[in-house]
Amino acid sequence: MRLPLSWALSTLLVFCQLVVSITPEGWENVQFDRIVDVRSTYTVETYELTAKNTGSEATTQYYLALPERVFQNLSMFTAALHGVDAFLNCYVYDGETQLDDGVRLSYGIIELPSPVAPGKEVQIAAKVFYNEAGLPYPEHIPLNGDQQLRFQTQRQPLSPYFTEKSSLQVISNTPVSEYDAKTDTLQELNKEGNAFVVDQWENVSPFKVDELDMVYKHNLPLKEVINLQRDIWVSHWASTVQFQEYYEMTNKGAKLDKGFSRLEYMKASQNQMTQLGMTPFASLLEMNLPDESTEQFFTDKVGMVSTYEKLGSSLFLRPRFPIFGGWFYNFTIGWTNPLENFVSSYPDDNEVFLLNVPLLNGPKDTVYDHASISIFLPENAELLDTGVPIPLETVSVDTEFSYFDFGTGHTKVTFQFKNLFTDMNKAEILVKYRFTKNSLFRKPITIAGYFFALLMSFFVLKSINLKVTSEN
Amino acid sequence: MSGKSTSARTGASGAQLQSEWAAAVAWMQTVLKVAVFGSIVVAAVSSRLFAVVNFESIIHEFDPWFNYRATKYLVENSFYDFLNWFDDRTWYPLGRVTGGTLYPGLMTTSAAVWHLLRRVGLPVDIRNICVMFAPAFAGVTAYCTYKLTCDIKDSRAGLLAAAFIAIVPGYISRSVAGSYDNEAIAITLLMLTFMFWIKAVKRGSILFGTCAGLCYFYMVSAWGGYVFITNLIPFHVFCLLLMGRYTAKLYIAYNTWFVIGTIASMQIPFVGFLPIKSNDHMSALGIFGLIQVFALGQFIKQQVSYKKFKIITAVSLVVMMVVGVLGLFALTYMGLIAPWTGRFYSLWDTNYARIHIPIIASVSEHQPVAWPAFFFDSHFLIWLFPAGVFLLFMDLKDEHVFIIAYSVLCSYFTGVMVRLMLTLTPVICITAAVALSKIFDIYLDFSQILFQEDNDDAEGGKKNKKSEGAKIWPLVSKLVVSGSFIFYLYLFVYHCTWVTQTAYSSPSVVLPSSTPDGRTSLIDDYREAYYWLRMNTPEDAKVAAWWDYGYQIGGMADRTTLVDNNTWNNTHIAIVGKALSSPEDRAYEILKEHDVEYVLVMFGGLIGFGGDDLNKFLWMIRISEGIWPEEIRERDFFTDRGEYRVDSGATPTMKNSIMYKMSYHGFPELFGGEAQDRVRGQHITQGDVGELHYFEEAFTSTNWMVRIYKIRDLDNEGRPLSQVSAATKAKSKRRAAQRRPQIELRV
Amino acid sequence: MAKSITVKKGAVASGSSSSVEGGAALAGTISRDFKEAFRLSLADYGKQWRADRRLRALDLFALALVVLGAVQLLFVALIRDNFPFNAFLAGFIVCVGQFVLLMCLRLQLVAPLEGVSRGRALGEFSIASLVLHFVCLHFIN
Repeated sequence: MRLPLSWALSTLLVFCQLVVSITPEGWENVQFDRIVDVRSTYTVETYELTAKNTGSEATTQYYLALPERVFQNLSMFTAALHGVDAFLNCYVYDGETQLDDGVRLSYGIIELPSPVAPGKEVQIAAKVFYNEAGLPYPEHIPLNGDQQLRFQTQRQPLSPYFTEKSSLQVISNTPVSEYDAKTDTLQELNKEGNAFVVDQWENVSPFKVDELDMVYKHNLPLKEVINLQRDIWVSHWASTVQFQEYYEMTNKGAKLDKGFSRLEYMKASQNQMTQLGMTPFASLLEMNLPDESTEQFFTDKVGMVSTYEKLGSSLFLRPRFPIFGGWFYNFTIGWTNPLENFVSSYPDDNEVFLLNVPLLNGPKDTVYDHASISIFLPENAELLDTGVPIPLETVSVDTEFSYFDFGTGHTKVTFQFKNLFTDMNKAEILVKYRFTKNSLFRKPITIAGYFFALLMSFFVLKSINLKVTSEN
Repeated sequence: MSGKSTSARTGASGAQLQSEWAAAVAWMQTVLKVAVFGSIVVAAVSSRLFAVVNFESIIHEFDPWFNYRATKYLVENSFYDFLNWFDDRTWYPLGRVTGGTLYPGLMTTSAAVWHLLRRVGLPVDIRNICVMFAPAFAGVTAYCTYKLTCDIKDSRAGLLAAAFIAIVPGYISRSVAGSYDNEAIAITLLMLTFMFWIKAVKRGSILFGTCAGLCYFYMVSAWGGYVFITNLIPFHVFCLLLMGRYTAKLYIAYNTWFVIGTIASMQIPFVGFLPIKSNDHMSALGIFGLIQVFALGQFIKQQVSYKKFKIITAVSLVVMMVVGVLGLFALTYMGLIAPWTGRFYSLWDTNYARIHIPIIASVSEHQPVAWPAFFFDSHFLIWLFPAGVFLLFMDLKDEHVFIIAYSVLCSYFTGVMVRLMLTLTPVICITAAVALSKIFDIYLDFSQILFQEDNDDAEGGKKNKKSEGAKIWPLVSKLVVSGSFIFYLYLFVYHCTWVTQTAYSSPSVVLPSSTPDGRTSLIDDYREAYYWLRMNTPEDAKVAAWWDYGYQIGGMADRTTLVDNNTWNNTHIAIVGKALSSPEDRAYEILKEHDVEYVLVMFGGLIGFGGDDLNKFLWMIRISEGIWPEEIRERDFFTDRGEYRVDSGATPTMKNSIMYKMSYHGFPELFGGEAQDRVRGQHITQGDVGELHYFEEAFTSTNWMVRIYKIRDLDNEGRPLSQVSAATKAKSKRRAAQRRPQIELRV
Repeated sequence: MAKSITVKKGAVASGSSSSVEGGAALAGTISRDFKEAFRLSLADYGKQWRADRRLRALDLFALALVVLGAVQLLFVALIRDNFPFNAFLAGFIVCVGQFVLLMCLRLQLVAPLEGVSRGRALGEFSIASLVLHFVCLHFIN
């Protein structure tokens, strides 16, 4: 790091300011079990915690330490009491702290439903999803080679509290080895059940930093959507909801060591693993469309792509070229659904409607850096309320002029998200709006009026013209 | 369609006496005319939509991609930016003064349509406007042709001509949806200009002359073929003058057209001062002078006796001719007037281009036309065409002279250049319509027979039976003739649909094919490779490819090219040709000098696509031989027996050229060491194709049609790359040998 | 453009001075013919000139245009430089163009064509002139 000294100093100052004196004290981890799931493009960490209040007062907040690589890419953070089927209120502390040895941290704060009295224990199950997978190791592989990922995470529990007993397990489809950078050797981990056990520890002091470096085979593409622009058009006249999605996709996996050779690719295509899609490159994308969708299309910036097929509710896209590590592919897909699939009117007021659309319909096993979801309500519709189940960056309302919009244009609600992943497609966006019968009929009347005016002016112009010539 | 119009007419003649009845019939006629016209326009537009229906809404071929790109630029920037557009993404490193070297009519029109539609609440994508542009204008062409033919004969012929031009393949070939080319608008403007010109000549109206001038200006702004009008109208006037048909009308029409057209055409940056400098425009100027003299002469003629006038005319004509010709030569000699351009010479001498300018000859549309093409493009109109011209000769009015002049000039030029088939087509339609409507006028007119019958019925009795036999023969002959022509019309429509569907509706960017299980699929290799370039290369990467693909790379891949279809710099094209036909090390030097990072070649050997680079290779060699005759020799690429071979019998020069290596790289291995090139029908073996040291395969499309190679960076030790790659190969073998146990340990 | 005018002048000139060439007798008759033609035309023109005031105005305007065009041509010939070539061209062409349009109008005024009345001819003439001047103004920059 050869940064200018002044810059370093100023950032240091910023950090000092950010280090608000939150002193997460008063707890002790009786049991701290952590399970890291690395099967997907994103990582899921599950915490099984048993914590005891060692403080003098009853407390409601438990702090979960999140290292930098986690909170920078954090997409979801949930927690529940053990054995209770309800999510706890939890959020991420807005800021970061720095430990003495330079490790930067933030905290996930879990709000317990009722204060825990001193000496009492509580069992919490927390899940942290973040959009980071291992880095390809080695970085360049041959076309038909296996992809290995190197993943770093903390080994012993990193917690602001003292930990009595702890364990770490890794869930992976392929064998996981621990990597020792000094000796450049690999040590395979033991498998117990469906997980690989790293180790167990006792009496770990608070803020213990202990890095684990592991390597595992991952013959799947690491699909990343850098930018998703999802437009949803609600039309009461056509009685449809139209979806259009623009993806800027890349593959974070291992790059090719040489140029792309079609010959080798054709040879590799004969391979059974390739046919099953078990390759580090993405040659087929499976989009998960809503039921009853029609009129699907698949285009990119140079026109239609003919290689797509709809099977059931899935849309299988074959991009123009397989997406290898470091390659990019931008494309647009779209489809149409009947209005009643997503829009329902309120029983007490049939001019108020509730739109209920899925957050995502993208390909499986994919992460989204940035997603912008726009909902276009019919012209003259009045936006009443919106509801989104996951944290969003911004929400904005403006108007957009489309075909035959002579009035105010379509009302457009735009939600901006960061760090989404495929499994969030179960989440739904709710938009409540009022669309009166009056405004439903206003549009065709306006259009007809304009046409009439046009015709009239044409006739008037024609008669004027005649006069001029007759005068001459 | 013809049936409808004629039936209206028969009805009209049947009710001549009652004036109210006649008014109603006239009204009916108008309604029918409008209906017929509406269906003609629908037919014109819909027959051009095969390409969109069969494929998609996409820009076709090569040149339209540039027009599309330019239109996008115009829409995104202001009009003045567009006129001053310097494009540094083509002709690297020279760049192209695009704003000053294009005909802006097409782009301006579609941008205007785009803005207009936005105003009226239709924010249509500019691509769709560009795709639908040609069909829409085909409808307008039909209208202009109708008006023009109305002035030549009558509205019956007009409707026929409109119907013909709407669906004739010769015109459809350049105006299907997606073929967003200058010709799409130019033919419309050609017809419009001629329409106003004929009107001006007939009426002697300054207004129509002005309109003709303005349309001419529009035409100049849209297509380089405007020179045709520049010469045809003076030629028409000249013919009329020779025929002694000078009138005040002619004077008015020509002068207004010439003055306004000339000054207006100079507004186009690309044309500039050409109208007063180039020889192509001199005939118009000469006729302008001549007609002034004629006007003066006419004035004098009114005063003096005929005999004396003849002497005066003869003497002054001789003097003027001598002075004029001398002046022209002097001015050309002094360099004030540009001599005729190469393309112009090639119009007169078909072999001129082949000998002097290979770049012009290499363009397929500059080849002489093959005779069957005439029938293919215009079906039975082609034999009605001379008949129509003959009929026009029969009553030789001023406007008929124009059509005759048009058809004679154009027939000749079409024989020279395939491209000009397009300008011939309208006149074929017009004359054929004149001929056919004349036939129908006579043979489809049953009114006489019907009336006779009425009279006979009134008289009744024996006579009726007697005249039956006399009546039946004209009826039969009429029925036979008109029936056979209606059958021809039916065949014509059938032929047009078939030709349009099979020959002219392919975007040529996408090729149709069928999968082994019988389903149709698309060969989309071009876009696959261009999109790969667009997505996975740096934005400022320079791509070297043969000029045919320049516009497409610019439009679809959005990358900088060395040469493109605007073949303004022969040397630059020759550089690319030289690089592709040189051995690797030489090519590497040339390409590195031009900062090229990727080389793109087309290879059709796997699927049998004939228009690939190896088949165009001879042109590349010829063009670069024209500049560097001592370095590139066409002879070296042919075997001793004068064959163009690519298999093991190919010459070493051929095998060493990077074009050969790049085309066949890895190809024999695909079939286990020996593969058949399905275009050239020759066997390529593994030993024929040398290795590439300086280039690395970066991408090859699904059907191997487009192959992209990346130029390797120079080794940092400065070793020649052939050594480096040999060394690394040895090293990598060693390394692989070392590595293997390690991997085994890991797993 | 420049050439067309000179051709015209050449024609007029040849009318008066072509007696230099040709054989003596033939040249004599020819020159006599030319003289007669010239005289007759002039006479007829004089008649027109006296008869209609509008034509008189029109001809004066045309003469002014010829003079203006000639002056411009002379100026360019004298300074031997036509640097803002488009400006010169626009100036010159507008003279020639307007002159020609005037001639068209004159023809229509002297002998109206069928379907084009005098009033209409004037209207059309003004439209054409407007277009011409607009284009030339645009060309001058």
